[in-house]
Amino acid sequence: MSSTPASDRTSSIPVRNQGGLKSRPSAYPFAAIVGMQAVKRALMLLAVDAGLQGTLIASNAGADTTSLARSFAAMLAKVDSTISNHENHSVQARPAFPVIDLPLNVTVDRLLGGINLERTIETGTRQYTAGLLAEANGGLLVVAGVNLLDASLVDHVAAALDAGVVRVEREGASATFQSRFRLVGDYNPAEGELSPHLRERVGMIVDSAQEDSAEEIAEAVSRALRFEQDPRGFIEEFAVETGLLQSDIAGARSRLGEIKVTSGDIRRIAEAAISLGVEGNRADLFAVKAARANAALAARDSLCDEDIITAIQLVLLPRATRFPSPEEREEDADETAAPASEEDVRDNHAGSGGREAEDSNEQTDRPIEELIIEAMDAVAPQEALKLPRGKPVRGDSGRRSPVPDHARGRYVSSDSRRNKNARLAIDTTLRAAAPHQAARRDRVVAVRSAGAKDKKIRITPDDLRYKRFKRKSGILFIFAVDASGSMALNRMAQAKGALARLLQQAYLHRDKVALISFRHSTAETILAPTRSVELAKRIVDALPTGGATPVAAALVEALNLARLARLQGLPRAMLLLFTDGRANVGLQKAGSQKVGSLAESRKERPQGRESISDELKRIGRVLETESIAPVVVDTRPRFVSTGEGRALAELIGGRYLYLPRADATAIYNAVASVAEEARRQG
Amino acid sequence: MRKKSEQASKPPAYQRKVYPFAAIVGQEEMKLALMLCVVDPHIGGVIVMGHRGTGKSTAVRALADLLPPIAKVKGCLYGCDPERATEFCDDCQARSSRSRRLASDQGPVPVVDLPLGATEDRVCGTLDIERALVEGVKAFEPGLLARANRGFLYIDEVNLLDDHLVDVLLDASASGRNVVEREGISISHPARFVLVGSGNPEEGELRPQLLDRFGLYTQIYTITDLDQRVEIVERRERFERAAESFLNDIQSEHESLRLRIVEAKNVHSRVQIDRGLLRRIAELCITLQVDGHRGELTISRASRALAALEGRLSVTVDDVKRVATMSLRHRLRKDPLERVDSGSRIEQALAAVFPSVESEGSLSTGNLRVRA
Repeated sequence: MSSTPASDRTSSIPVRNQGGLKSRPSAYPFAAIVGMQAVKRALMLLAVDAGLQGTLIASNAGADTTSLARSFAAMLAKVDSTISNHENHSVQARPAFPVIDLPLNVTVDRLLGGINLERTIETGTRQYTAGLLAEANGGLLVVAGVNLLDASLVDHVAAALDAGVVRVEREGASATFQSRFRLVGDYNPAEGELSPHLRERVGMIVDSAQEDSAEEIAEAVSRALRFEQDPRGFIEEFAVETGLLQSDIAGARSRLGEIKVTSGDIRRIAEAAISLGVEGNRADLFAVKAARANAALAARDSLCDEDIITAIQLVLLPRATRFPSPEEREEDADETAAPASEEDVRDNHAGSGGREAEDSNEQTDRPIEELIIEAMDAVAPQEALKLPRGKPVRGDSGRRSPVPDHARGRYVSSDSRRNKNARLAIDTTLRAAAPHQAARRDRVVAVRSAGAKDKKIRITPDDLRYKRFKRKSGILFIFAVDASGSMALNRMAQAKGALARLLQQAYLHRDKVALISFRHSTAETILAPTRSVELAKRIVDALPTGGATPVAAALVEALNLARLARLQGLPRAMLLLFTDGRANVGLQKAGSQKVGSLAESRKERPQGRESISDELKRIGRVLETESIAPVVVDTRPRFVSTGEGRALAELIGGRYLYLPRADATAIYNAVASVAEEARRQG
Repeated sequence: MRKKSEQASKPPAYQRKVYPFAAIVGQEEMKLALMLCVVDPHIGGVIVMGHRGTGKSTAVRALADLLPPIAKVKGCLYGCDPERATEFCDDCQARSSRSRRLASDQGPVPVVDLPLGATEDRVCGTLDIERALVEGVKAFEPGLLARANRGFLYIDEVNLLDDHLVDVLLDASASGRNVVEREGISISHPARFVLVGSGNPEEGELRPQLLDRFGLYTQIYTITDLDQRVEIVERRERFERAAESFLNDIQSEHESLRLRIVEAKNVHSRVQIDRGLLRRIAELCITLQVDGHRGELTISRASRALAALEGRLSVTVDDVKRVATMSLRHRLRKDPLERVDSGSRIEQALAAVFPSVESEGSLSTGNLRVRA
């Protein structure tokens, strides 16, 4: 072990941060960003009131919200390091405003902090290192692709947001770190849903999708090019705007405490939350804060409708579980004045902070429904207004790769064998070394005959212990139920019964279930992968049935589900296909964008039976390469069965379970035994 | 050599103002269940399941302030009760055989939060590395279970808890002791604690064995009453902006709630429950086909605690009715896709077993509601 003086070591954190700030002087100026009004507004509110906790930005693959977040970070860092320097007098040697980028492959110990091995060994007493969450204290945590962060890690981030501290009770470490930070994250909804915990604990969730005019797009591109060629010059060019934004924020912050929020205002916000079916009380609080921050930015001393609309739009709508019915909307929309247009937003935004609040927005006490509708009109309709559950999420095959697979899971034990990617188990290494210290010290002393003052711990290679991980990776059971034909209701009941019984066991194996129904030409996910009996209960009993049998569409839907599940740490899937096996609609006809990844292999050809079976074979091969095990469950009574189920199983390279007239229990038993087999192999 | 460096050594325990229990608006069932467990820890803990952001953790964390201090053996790692020699840890036992009376002092009832991602070594305790390294002593470093002895152990997201930790908790809560056999340490110490769990049922099921450990099961919903919702926001805002003055305003409510609990704890052992009533409770459980006797026991204990909280020395039918649902909700056999809520099944059975009295049905906790 090196005997470098400890003093430099401990400062590694601040140095890293400062480096981070310095290496990013040329972030694209926030003030120069064209369009994306809602996102900018949400970030400005966050800048004004740290109590809003965070902003999450939904973005499509094309939108570069990550660099937007960095622009924001850079701007905020400037504001905060000048403003809050004198507030945070206690902090030494740390930048006033840390900006921490959280990589998706971060490990739990790095995130939370833990024992500082080197220092512990050097000093002989337990020494701690702060994790990234603690390093972000007083600053900003930026996460790109926040929905791809491993579920357990997201929960830690959410817990820290909630509590303002990180509590570590793991691997020999027992510590509490302060961790108050603001979170800015972006995510592509096509790659998976946001963790509900995180969703709950940030103030604003916005969609970056927008309809920019050609003009705006042209301007954005030209600015980007200019920035590329001459970052410094470009930043210089926007120095005035940047300065104005910063003084807007500073001014708004100082005004924040004086803004009057009346009971009436709170009542209206709570009313909106109730009518949108928002769960819990945190959102109400966030909405009040957002409205207040909005008023502060506009230099008003009390709330007006515009502030409440903004709060509804950015805080409440993304958490809505129901919306005013369309008819209601239509009717009211006619009476509604021009929606909170971009002008309004931009006006306060770029304005020098002194915009007088005398214009038409002043009239208050319009019915809350009107405000909700206005807020809905102001939101891009696609993602943000999508109800969080019930609709399937589908994705391409993941543009960012999540945590590498080695060394994932739970650290269960440690031993002295070193294998690839082994990570040192600090706690057990120290414990292994501990009993020998006295003897080793004596030996060294004898050899050197020096003073026995040093407390250094002597660790030999024999002491080293490496972590063994155990990953309890469950299986995703995808029930694909053929809703065509006369026996469909029967099949659905059987599948539901088996699914319910499977769920009772799901806890033990970390399994999840999903349900797809297919008929006519499409397949639809009725139950997205879940472990919850509560959710499964909500599956509609009477689904529409009848029509043709698009087996291929169902397979592709299942494939999409399995891919998404894999991104979220569920590597294996089993597909249970409840059908009589008469696949009679091809993908072409089922024609949808879902088939993306299979498109290359599909050539234009007549859609007869022949090509359907080719198609099924092809999908079967894809299923195999992605280790999704298909099982065809055929429950038709013997005398009607024509062997089509078996033929289908052969086509897609799956197993065939023939369970004539079986009830849910019999089906569950059969499924469970197949699953058990799969588990043993895995 | 520096002994402590500012950032890297153990950070100072972080104190944060706790939102007071008395200021929590609504959610009467949850508050009642928690208070019952404070009055009688033998009820066996509470699990609170429901929507996110409805004040579950706020309530549990506020509990600590309501608990009257307890006597602890001085210097004992586990806070042994000087009055109960039978439950002493090994250390106290050894010391008490030497000297007649162990010195004791007053200390707070521990409310220990089991943080997310806690590892087994920290939960159970393990070899104290520091002492092993520096002094060459094989000493035990107590874990969270030791810290929670005689107090409360709170697990948020209890339905997402790792299986191996669930096993550890089940062992400890069944036996009241924590047995550690690891890293060359072999020790067993008292670990009696009241489990309090919370979670969102949409995120997964709870292991049945663990569910069974909880005495009371309460459900919590988003409040849809406009006035209450406004009040929640207003109070919270005041608390965040001026904690001191808010706490001052609520002080008298807080104090009276505290006294009520202290009083209830004092009288609760003297509360009588009529034999006839016990029969009816048994009937109720039979009607509902509750397995085992935990159902009856929990109802009896909880209704006694409730009577004590209301300052009575005998249990009434109404007490039983008010605690029956939370005592039985998780003990009914259920079909996973059953649509009828267990709560309404219990209501029906209650109506059948206790037909005469007009049902009051409310779960008000008396003077708990506070006007700001």
